[in-house]
Amino acid sequence: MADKTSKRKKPTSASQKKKSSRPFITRQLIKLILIFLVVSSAYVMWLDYRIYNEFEGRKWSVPARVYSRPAEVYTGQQYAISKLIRRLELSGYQRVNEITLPGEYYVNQNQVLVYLRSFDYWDGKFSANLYDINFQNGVISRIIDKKLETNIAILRIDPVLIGKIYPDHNEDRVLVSLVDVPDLLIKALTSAEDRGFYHHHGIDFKGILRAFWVNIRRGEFAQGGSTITQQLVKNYFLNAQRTLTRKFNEMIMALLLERRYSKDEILTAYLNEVYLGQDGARAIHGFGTASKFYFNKPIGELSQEHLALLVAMVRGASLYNPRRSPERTIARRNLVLDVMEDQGHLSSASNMILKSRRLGVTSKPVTPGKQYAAFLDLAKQQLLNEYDIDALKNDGLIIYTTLQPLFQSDIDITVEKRLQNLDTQQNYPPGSLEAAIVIINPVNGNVLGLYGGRNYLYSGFNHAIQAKRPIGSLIKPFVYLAALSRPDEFGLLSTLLDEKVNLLQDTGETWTPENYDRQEHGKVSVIEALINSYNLATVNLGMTIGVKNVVSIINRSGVTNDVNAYPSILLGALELTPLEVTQLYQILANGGYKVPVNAIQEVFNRDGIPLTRNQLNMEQAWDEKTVFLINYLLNKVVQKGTAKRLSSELGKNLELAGKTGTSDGSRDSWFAAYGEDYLAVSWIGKDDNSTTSLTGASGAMLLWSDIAKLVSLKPIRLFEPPGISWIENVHLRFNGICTDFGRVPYLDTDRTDPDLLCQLGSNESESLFNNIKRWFQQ
Amino acid sequence: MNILKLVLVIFNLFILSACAGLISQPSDNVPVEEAGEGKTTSLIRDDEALEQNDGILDLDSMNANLPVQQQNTIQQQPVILALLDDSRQQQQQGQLSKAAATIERAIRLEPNNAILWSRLAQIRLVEKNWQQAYVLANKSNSLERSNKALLSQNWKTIEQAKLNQGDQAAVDHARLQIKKLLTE
Repeated sequence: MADKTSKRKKPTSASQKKKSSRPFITRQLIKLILIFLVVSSAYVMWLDYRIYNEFEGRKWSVPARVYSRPAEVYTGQQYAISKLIRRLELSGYQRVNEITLPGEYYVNQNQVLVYLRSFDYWDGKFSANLYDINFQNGVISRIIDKKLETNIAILRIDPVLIGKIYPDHNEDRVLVSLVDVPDLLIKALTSAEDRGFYHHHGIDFKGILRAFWVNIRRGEFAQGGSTITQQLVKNYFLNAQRTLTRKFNEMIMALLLERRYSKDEILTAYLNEVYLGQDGARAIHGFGTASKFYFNKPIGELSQEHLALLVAMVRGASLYNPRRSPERTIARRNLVLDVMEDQGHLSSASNMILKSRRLGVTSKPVTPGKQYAAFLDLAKQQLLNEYDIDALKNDGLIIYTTLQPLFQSDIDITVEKRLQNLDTQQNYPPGSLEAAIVIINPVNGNVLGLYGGRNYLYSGFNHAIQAKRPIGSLIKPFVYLAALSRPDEFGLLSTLLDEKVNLLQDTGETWTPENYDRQEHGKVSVIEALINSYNLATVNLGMTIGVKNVVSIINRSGVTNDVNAYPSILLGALELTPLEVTQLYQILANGGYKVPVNAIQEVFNRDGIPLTRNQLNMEQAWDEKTVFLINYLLNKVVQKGTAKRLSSELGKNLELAGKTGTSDGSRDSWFAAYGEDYLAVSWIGKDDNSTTSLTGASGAMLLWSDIAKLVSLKPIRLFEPPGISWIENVHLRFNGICTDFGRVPYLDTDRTDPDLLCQLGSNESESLFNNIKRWFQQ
Repeated sequence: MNILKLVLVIFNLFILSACAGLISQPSDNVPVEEAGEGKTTSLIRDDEALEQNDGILDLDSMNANLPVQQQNTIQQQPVILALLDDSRQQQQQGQLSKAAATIERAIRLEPNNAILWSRLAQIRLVEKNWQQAYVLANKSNSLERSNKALLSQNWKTIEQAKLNQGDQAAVDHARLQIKKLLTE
């Protein structure tokens, strides 16, 4: 002010000097105006530039949303009613006594009525509809489409949101467009916040006066004078300080925004930007996000009083928090409803009804649980093969995976129970043992569930996809696969020598492998050697056919490329992750056909347009006839061999194929096995790689059978490819006893060694006699 | 004085915001929303598959196989029948990748149903995905021993696939198998 006073004085003296020219005061005023013009123009240009820059380049960061696969429900399916209820709850359906809206269900003895939500599937949009699902003795007997009153064969229940891939600033959004949003929301919003929205140019002087008047009349703060445009500007560009400068800027920017953009653009931005709550570090922005956060429903499914509640919260999301301050919030909601009635958007009768309703928010936000985190790791890893990380974090992709969410929850509980058990049994401090498990459908490679480790959430180390451990005897089927690929040299009834051998390693050291029982078993059949998992016979076989040929079999699976052809790999000195082992065994379980183990089904962009789909592609990696022989052997492993205990765990009649694996010093306990539509690979060990006393059969196999009990496991079906012949009535020396093996398959020529065969009957005394004879001979 | 300033400023606001608007008005071909594009490299497009279909094997000839399909589907579970039916309709509407997705859905429910693999092989054939048509028809054959109509259908798929791959020996082999099945 001092400056200005002195400036004022100067013209007085100047005008006295130059009377003829224009008055000095006028010239100075023009100068002053010019300066103001320049400065204020620059300022406004700057503001306008900011608006353009922010608004135009604005790309809301929307995290990728990752979903499980939908549940298939069909007539004739074994499906307990309780399981269906659990599944509906996981998808956020609410149990009610009278169904009025999508997302609700009703249970009555052997009947579930469910109003399924609309959903965009890969093969088309599903429109919300009511279904009546009937059960009889644990089987779905009938599904009725209530709209058409017809029976239908199959129904999908919408996938479960299992996780999000968040932007770096932890922002979460479910974007909505004007067409998604119920008309009533816009009406409620404009009634409560900005009645003149469609008429003003950014600032509503009439509105300010009206708000003033309404607030006085009601004696409370019912309306604000800020237009929606001003509020948007405030949210976008300005801080929350209530200063005059900020208000001034807000008004100018509101005018500028209105000049540049249409009402619809401004409203859409507002709907997605407005702050509506807080979930820990995560801010809830926009009506789409808030609808999910408070009601666990898409905005299109909200009823009128829900919409009014969200609008009520615009005024102060922490003040009117429906979970924390329900009473205050309900009053505010009812105020909004009243304003809507005043504006003619509601009849007074329906307003009465709506006001009597409760808030209807879920008791806590339904956010994807942590239980899917280990699976999400795999999904993310596979997504990164096709999408870059920024796209995943920001572009709002919608990702459908292969996960069975109920199964996953059961897996976690089951594994942890078994590990506690084993810790106690082995006298280890609690938490000593770690485990991993990968479960797939071997036919299409879909990962159905995955366990990454006990301390996964704490350590972030995912054993299923990161822990490379020696696979021990899990390698053996592939040694035999290499051998049996030469049907002119080896058959299942060829003789192998289970005798000690000294091998020179590349390091110059001598390697003298031993059997697990530290015995030599002499001349044994291929059948006996694999199903008893004899090390010496396997090493001798591997050396005969050449380690390189075994390596080439592994390489053809595409699982790993850095396999060194050392003799020690014949006994599994090959380090693989459980996921990689799963891929190896997938090819066996699928008859020699490789399908990549995959967690991703489909990817949609944020507008629901399909981008990519993992279609079922197969590649024949190994000859199906040879794989048939291996599957025959692995079935015998479960019937008579190292995995015999599995039959007693799961029931004798369940035909499965599997292989146990134990690494040096029992550091790793492995089990890989499969039926018709499930393949699981389990691993147990310690993170410090110290020894345990668990073999494949006493550790990982128990875990495997626990998991198998969770599903209705179908037996393996050995499909005989053309070119298989059979030897009938095979009586074979096995564990020193003459054993009936029934029919044994072979390829091309029968390579049976007659020495291995025996006569059923006096076999036990015979072998006892032989043993005594041998003892005397020594 | 202060009022004068305010009037001037507001007056200027409008003039200058108009100028500012002229400088950087968004043009129509500037992508306003770049989000959500993702990569589309492996996007399977039905319309392309159809356009490329130059008559070696068209949809009509696929539909000529319907009697064989019906013969095969008599004893299926209702759910499999329903999905086979959906898939056929999708294929008739030219939506090949949807037709395939529906078959894959059915395979998830019945992984060792040879008819499903055979259908999938036929869809791949229409898509001109010769290698997959061949492998999937083989897979179907490995699951089925007795249904001659189905086996013969699979060998026809293999014959077509191999013809297009220029593998004459495999074509001859497939033809021989078809002949055998007819005479048996």
